Amino acid sequence: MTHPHFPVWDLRVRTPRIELRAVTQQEMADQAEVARRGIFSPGTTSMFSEPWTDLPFPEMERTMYQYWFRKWSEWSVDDWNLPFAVYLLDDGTSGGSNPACVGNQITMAKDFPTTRLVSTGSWLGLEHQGRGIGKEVRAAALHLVFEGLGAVRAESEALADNIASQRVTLAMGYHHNGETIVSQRDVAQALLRFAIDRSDWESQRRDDITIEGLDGALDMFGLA
Amino acid sequence: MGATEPPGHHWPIWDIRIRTPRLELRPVAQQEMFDLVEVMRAGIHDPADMPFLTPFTDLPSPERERRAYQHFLSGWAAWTPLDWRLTFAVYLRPDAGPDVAPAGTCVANQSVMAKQFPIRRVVDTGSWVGRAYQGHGIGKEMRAAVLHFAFEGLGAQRAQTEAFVDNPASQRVTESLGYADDGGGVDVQRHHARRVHRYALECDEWARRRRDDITLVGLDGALDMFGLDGSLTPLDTP
Repeated sequence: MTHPHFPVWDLRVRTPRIELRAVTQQEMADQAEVARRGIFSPGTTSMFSEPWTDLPFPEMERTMYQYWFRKWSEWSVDDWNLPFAVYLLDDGTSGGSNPACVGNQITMAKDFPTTRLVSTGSWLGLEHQGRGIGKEVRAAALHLVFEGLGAVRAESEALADNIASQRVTLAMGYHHNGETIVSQRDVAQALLRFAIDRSDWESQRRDDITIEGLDGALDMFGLA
Repeated sequence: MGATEPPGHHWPIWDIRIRTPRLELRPVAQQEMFDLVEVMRAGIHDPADMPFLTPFTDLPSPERERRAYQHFLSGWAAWTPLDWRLTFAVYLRPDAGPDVAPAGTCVANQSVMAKQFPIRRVVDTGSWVGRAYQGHGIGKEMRAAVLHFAFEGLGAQRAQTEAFVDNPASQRVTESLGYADDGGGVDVQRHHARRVHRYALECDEWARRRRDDITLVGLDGALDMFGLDGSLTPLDTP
């Protein structure tokens, strides 16, 4: 079904390999299954400041659902969080008939019509890591914000020991943007900041990424 | 849903159904949000009146529709066993009566909410009926349904409601179901003081009038979300 009364739910971003779909009912269920199968190798630290992936069934699933309910219920032009589920369109094996959900991508902004600044985050199911999907997801997210929304700058952060995330970020053309310290499970951790400006995105923008459903949702971003 | 079939989601409240011969009540998931907003768009009260404490029907489109979605979503987002708001969309069943609307039509909103329910055993209710469907007894039928859910399904001891003093239709429904006068109060609406009547229905009064033609579906799998599966220990309660 389409969502004329909440048009941001109709938003899609598609590359040849993946599709980002705004998180509604089906996407919530699909992502909860991915998270239940595991996002981190056992023994490694969570990359999240809130270790929700430690929760047993069904608390973890309900925590995820309520996180998404809250993001949509609190959406405003001046402060929004746009969560997408990531679907794999072509992994070379499935034939692409029934895209598999592989993870999550979220873009956040405050006072976007003025600042034109976003920050992004994402996670991938353990079995989908190491195949370049994270980079493809980031490329899609950056295409949406720079091409679709007219952003001038995108920021991202990663814990110092999350090398995979930093590799994706640097490969996309972000530059280092300082660092800070966060507490995670009562342990101090270095958090590295990165940023990419519009001109750096433009020098490597792709022509094989499409955005669907944005026109009807522009006023939810204060851009109509 | 069969007992062995895995649910298509992880929000078991969505599987609850309350059925009377005339109506089915379904918690607001994606389709129900859309249906309720369409009823709201078609009109739920005389524009000259404002029966709601929060005058959400005053907003221009599309803010009005988006706020309604966000209101429904905030109920799920803020849900805890000790503080919850459950909003149902009300649909006509085939026996709704030939003069109302076709079976399957969404006609109304029925909400029930509670704080510290496992201890207090008190619920409050609120509702609205689409203008095109008023005057057919739907308001009374859906209140009977949600009272059955609260008393029979959740083990409530008391149900409360209130209405502005100039909303006789709401008061008529309330009084016809056996509620007692529970005093009055003053609320603020659009920066104006508005008088309200309060009403309460105790479990024993409900039990004397209880109907045997209302069924509950899907509640067992959701009981822990109400803190009623034995998992809520005294330490969890403030």
